[in-house]
Amino acid sequence: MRNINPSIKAAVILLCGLIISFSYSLFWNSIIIGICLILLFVSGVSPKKIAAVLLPATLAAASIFMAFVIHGNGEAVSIATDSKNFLQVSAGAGKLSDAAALALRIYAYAALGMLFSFTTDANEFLYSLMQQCHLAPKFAYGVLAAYHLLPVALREYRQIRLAFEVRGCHLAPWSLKPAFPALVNAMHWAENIAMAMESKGFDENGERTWYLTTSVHPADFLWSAFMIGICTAGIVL
Amino acid sequence: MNWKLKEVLFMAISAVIFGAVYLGMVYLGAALTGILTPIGLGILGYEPIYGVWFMAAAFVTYVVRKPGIGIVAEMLAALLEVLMGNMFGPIVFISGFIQGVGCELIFALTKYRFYNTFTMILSAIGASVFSFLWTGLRQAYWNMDMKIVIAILIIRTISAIIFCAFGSKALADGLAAAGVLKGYQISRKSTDHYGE
Repeated sequence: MRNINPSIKAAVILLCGLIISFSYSLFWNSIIIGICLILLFVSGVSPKKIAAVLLPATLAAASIFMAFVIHGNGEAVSIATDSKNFLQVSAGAGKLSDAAALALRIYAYAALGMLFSFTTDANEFLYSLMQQCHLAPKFAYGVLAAYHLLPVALREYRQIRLAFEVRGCHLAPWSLKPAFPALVNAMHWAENIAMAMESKGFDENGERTWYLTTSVHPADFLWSAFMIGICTAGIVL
Repeated sequence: MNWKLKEVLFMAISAVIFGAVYLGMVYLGAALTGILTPIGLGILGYEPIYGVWFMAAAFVTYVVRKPGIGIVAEMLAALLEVLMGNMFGPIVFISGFIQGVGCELIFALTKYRFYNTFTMILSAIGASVFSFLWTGLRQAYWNMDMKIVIAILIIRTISAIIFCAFGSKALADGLAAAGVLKGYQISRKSTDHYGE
């Protein structure tokens, strides 16, 4: 998975996500989830990371399931009622499978998302966007700079919290007080980086050479066809 | 797209920060959902904080005041959220686009001239309605009880107005007062465009 061209991977996964938005097939959605999980394990993603994403996904899936069971339109699910009316029972069962399909889809989204985010390096992705999709370097490098500033911003936030503590201001963990100075600094950085880039001779329109080159292989297309095929199967079959 | 490098970086840094906040909100929303699920209202778990997810677009648009930049900021924040591990996956990238468009609509209609509380509220409502249509399409709202669907729309809109209209505006005004937004449109008093 790590060797697939990041731009193609992103496009395919986005497309798959769109396709399964219209698919209610329990069987095919389970297949998609299975394939994604196998691919994740093959690429050596730690199960702990996967569990950390699946846990909130389970909550979301459960909530949708319950919402449909309790608030879906029509009669409430009443399989256990004394009337053994066949229509009523089968309507209830249909609604249950609808609810299950929607809940399962949350997992399918999560699995597709993990397949992208846990096997893609941000640098490679942006380089690939510049080389394969001709994204303006202004954006790519700007985003890259900002992305790598995130750990610094978090450290800054912690330092400001400590500074408050040192002065005897005890803050609740959810207090937003230290966030504002941290933001002020982040805005300074934005200006400073822009200035630094320009003073180093960053040219928005000039020809560039690449530190990392990314290319497209036939295997990328094979994988794309396979993934899109599986997702489309859920609608067509 | 005559954005300056400085504006692009401002947009990127805002998007990164909001992306991190968005991811935190996903977990908060999941916790709320967990609490509400046993009574069947779990689907409302994300609604009270839904406005937070529109903040990047509103904030960046309000500061830079150029067409399209809010949409890009919102999409970028969504993309970074996915890279950091959002459980809803790449589909939020499309959600980001739709929310950004909803947010920007009112500014486009007023030809990017008015940036005040009133247009910010309208923009929050726009984002809320657009995202409502989108989640409705994805989660098949038409199969659900109308009362719940209307509750979703109302709670989401109120949340959008609180976080996105008042929150983003207060944040941007605060930062402008702190003097760090001098280079951007928000800190320019006159509305003419000499020297651009």
